[in-house]
Amino acid sequence: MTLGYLLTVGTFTGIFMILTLSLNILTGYAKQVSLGHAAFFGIGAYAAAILATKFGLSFWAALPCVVAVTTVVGIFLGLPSLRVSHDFLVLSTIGLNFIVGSVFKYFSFFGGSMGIVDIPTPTFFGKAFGTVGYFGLTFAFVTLAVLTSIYFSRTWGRLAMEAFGEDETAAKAMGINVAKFKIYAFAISSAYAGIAGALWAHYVGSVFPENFGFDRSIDILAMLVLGGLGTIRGAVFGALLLQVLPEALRFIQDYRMLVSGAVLALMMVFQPMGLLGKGSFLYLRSLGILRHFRRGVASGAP
Amino acid sequence: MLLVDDLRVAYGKILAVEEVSLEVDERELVAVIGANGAGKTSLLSALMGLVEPRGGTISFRERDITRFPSWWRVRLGLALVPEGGRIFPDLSVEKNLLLGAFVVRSRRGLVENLELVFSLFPVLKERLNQRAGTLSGGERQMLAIGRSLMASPKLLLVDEVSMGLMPKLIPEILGTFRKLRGERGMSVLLAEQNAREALQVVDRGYVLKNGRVVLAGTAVELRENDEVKTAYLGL
Repeated sequence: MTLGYLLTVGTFTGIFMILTLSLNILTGYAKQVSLGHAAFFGIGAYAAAILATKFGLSFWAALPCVVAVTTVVGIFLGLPSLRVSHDFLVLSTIGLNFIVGSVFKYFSFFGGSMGIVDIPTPTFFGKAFGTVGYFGLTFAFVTLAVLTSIYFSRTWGRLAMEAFGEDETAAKAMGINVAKFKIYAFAISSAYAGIAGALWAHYVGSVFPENFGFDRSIDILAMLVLGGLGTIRGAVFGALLLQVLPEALRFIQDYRMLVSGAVLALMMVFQPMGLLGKGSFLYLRSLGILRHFRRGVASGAP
Repeated sequence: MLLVDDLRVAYGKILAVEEVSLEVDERELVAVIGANGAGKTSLLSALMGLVEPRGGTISFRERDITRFPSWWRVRLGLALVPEGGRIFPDLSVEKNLLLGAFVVRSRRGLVENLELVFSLFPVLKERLNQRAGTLSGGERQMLAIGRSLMASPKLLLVDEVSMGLMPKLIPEILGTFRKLRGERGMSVLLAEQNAREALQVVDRGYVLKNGRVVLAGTAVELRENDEVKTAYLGL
């Protein structure tokens, strides 16, 4: 096991952390369950790939455009949520994922099933990022995503989302413009996913339609739910666990899908709030240990 | 202050509210009395902008608000205590109250309104960090009323607040609306099945039957009316 291998796993883990944080705003806070989140991820990746290969923009110059494109597309793709909710919204996000995938596949502008290749590695003051550098770059963006998530979680916007997530009619009666905040959730969420897409495209160097399929959307949602829906710590931890676990389970080869599938199913039965979600066993225990430790320090002080 | 003219609400082909006209003045307590399914909730929902009326007009503080979205109505000074309270059970009592002040947001307004709510319902202060879903039935209704007061409303719409309450608590809860009128100059429109208790606190009332206003008058007149006596007061 080389350092390069670990850094590569780490970089992908970081990209998925940004994606789970992205989905956490949409599904965790605003309760708009999306099973098509890979579409937003893909739009970011394709936007970055096209801007780099067809327009010759650098990673840095393209990034604001990528975020702008994904935000605008996110707003459009969020419009159905104003008409449909719950199960029907889930179905329409799945449909959306397939539509976006087909557009990538059947329009030659997007490279068709050959995808887009030869996406250059980003540079920083003329020097190309190596494996270590890219790992650092990714985690700089993870930190940014965590900090902005923490900031957002303390705003009225988050409170509004929690409210209509529980009871839309009651939220309206509170004077909350539900439509506006739903669209906000889609916009913010897809902006994050756009950044994750750009990081992916420039790291892998190529994008193909099947990179952003329905199975990937399930992965992202599973990570978030496993970690703890509606919490930032859960989003980060879930991505870490589901990216690292399959790698760690490589020694059992063919059975690893079975094991991670079983872990997920058992979790849903015994800890539906997620490993680190509100009121989960692990979270309460670690809080308890922390409190115990603090009390010990306090009483031990002279 | 509130003027409703020829209001009609329908769900598909079923008419829930037909040709209802009513008014509420400044600093007035008004009841809408009616049995289950008389159209009380539909009426209040239309006033709040939660359902679109099929016809008629609603004006509030000299503005035609018939087509206004809910959030705009709240800003103008309308607030609703929904049927059954409809608090947010997974959020803390504190967050529920904050959400009531969504259109206020200024620190001073927030503190003032919180003080008012705590003076009316001291028990909420003790429960501030508790999940709202863990409150008792009476406490939930107090939270629902408190939450609606956080928006500094000029007119409070109250939907069936006595339902599911301990009989002992009903006069106490209804009494708070008189207090609010006295202290804050608020008007209240009270939709109630419990005519006996409602007619004790309001100034005037309307009787709603199958979506229509069949009777209107002062509280005293309604209490003395034979029809009301037999149908709603059980005398």
